[in-house]
Amino acid sequence: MNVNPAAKAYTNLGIMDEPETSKKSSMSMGLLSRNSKPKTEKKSSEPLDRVRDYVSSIRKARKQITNG
Amino acid sequence: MAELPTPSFDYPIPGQGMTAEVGSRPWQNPPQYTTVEQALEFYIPRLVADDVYEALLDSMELGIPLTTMADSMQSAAVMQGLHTIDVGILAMPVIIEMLAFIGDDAGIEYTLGTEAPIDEDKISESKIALAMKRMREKLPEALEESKEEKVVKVEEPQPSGLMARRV
Repeated sequence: MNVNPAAKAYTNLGIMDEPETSKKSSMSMGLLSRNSKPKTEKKSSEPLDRVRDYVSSIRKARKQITNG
Repeated sequence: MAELPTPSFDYPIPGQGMTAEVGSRPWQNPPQYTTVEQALEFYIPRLVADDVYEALLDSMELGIPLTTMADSMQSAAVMQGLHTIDVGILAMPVIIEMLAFIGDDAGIEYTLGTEAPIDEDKISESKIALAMKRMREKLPEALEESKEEKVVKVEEPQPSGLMARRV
């Protein structure tokens, strides 16, 4: 039985390996089209989300090293 | 009439010797670093400091899991009153990732410590199948004989009545 909290904390972050590609908006660019800007997603400032961001950025740099 | 001995309460409470005045321990005081960022600002420069860096690489080469190393670091910092356990738990994934980064950068094979533990008592199906195959290859005749023994001739019950035909 693994009782190390670090392993649990690390594996339960829920970081996706590949970032989701942003969908292109299918809004028309005509003169009569609505002039609404796509909503920007609000970034959560919860500590867990910040930690997730830090880990994913370090992981990205780590993968660059391993992939050459 | 003999008097019963009265219980004395003038003894230390079990475990009292291991306690101290409230607030006299570092972890009983307000922590030095209250946010994850502050804690990481404390950890990361230390991880890449020359003396610690070499020791970390040695530990990785010895096969100590990174999760164990990160847990030890944060536990020690909690005991020193640097941050709370909550902040330590939050900082641990970043420390582990940073350790992995250091290991990759130095080209060292390390154990992360998140792999599922292998149950040594449980034999996998593939191993059983492999052993069976080897056994069949080694003892084909013995298996044939055992198969023949298993085949039991089923004799039909012969009629034994008065009106039955005689064979």
